[in-house]
Amino acid sequence: MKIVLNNTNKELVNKVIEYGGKRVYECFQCGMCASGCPVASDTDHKIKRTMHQVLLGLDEQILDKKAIWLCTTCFMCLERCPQNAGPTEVVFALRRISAEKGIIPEAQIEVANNIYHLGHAVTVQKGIKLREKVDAPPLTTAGANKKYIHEIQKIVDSTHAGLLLKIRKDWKPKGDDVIACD
Amino acid sequence: MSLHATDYALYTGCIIPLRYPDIENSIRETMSLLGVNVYDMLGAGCCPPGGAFWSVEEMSGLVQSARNLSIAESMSKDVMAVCNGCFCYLKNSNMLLKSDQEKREKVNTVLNKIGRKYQGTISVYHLVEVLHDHIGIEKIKQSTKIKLDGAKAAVHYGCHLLRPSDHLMAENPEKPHKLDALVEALGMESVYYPKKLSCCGAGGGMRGNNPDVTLRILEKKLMNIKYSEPDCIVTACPFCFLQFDLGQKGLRDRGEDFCIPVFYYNQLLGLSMGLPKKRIASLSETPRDGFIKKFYGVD
Ligand code: SF4
Ligand code: SF4
Repeated sequence: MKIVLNNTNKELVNKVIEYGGKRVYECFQCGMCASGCPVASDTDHKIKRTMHQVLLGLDEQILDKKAIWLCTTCFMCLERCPQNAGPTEVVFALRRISAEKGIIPEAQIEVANNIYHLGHAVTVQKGIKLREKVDAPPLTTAGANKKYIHEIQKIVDSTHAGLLLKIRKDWKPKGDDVIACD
Repeated sequence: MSLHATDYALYTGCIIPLRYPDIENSIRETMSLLGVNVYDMLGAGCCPPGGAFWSVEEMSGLVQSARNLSIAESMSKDVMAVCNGCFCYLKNSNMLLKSDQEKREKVNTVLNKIGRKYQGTISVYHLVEVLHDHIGIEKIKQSTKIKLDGAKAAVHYGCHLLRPSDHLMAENPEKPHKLDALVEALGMESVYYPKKLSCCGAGGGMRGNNPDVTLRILEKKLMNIKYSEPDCIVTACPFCFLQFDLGQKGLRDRGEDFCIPVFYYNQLLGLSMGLPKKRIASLSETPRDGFIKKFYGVD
């Protein structure tokens, strides 16, 4: 592959900066980020390479591969980066760009729909049964009352998340498994 | 320091109230015995987590966090978060909104539609900070009846209690000590193991997106933990707890031998105070009864 450095696609890096990866230009490719990354050796998500690809404008290589969705958001790279280039923030920015193109994994869609319809990332009925089993006091959080869930729906509807996370009005939870969270 | 060091708005999140309500009981009951009052945040929703809303649009994460923070503000109480993810995203939102007027105004235009307002009047703490910094090790030592002499614990801090440290400021991110000190206050030894600060492999949507990878990362973490032959794993995050609890079951289902008892810190604290196992430590897929029998002498 041939990369012409003085003619790179600046669109990607500008968008990454706009979407939160403000210090991406600081990266000097030392590799500290990848050395502490829990997924680097087991997945296609190579954070040092991703930083470089952003600077080189290789958006297709990043977005098509979907590897950015394998980041656990552990912030180890961001914590240890000697340049404070904020690699985790770059991952978040790339996810936002990816979501705008409609590329987003099922787990994210599922958990967002849970939150939108139930007020919580996980299903509520199973939780209420478990609460009874251990004599926990009645649930008082959003999941306990439709009026709170309507509040959450109203504020989410004021953002673009409904579209980006493919929130469906006729949605039914797939099951009681905890699929994704922080 | 906090508004009132003995009064907190209890932000329970999603996993604790709906999957491990025994952990919620353990928090409520131990805090009460330590003279700390916790108050319910009526109608609090998901924090929300980084894996979903924050990953697609900052504003969609911010408005939901701000709604939760506004509930605590209306109670004039600081928030005590009992999950690392909740702590990280609520504290981060609180800092962003306190410092960025433009974002605050945007958020309040949205919150106005549901009759709420973010004002920036409270702080967010993690339970570990409340226990260690506000209550103190001495008081915790005095509150226990049963000492866990001879028990060895592998402490897992979890990512979002430590990082990003310049926002969270809860611990030294490379050399944290608070949870270790809390564990040792119960009479246990907190043992060294390699890569103690590394991720459990659950976050960011990983558990849902890629079950194979999530278990592989967990397996590495557990291999490091096994190196020190602990009697149990202790954490103060329900999502890490879930990953260790259900994840070890997942690994056992694949024929692997991982069966280390896992506890949320307040479950051990509660057992040490003499609270009943049924209410505070009875829900888990990875068995804990052997540990409880051996060190507390109860069935
Ligand atoms: S992001 Fe930071 S740690 Fe990673 S390669 Fe660039 S400068 Fe080094
Ligand atoms: S935040 Fe993501 S990219 Fe950075 S170290 Fe953690 S898993 Fe790797």
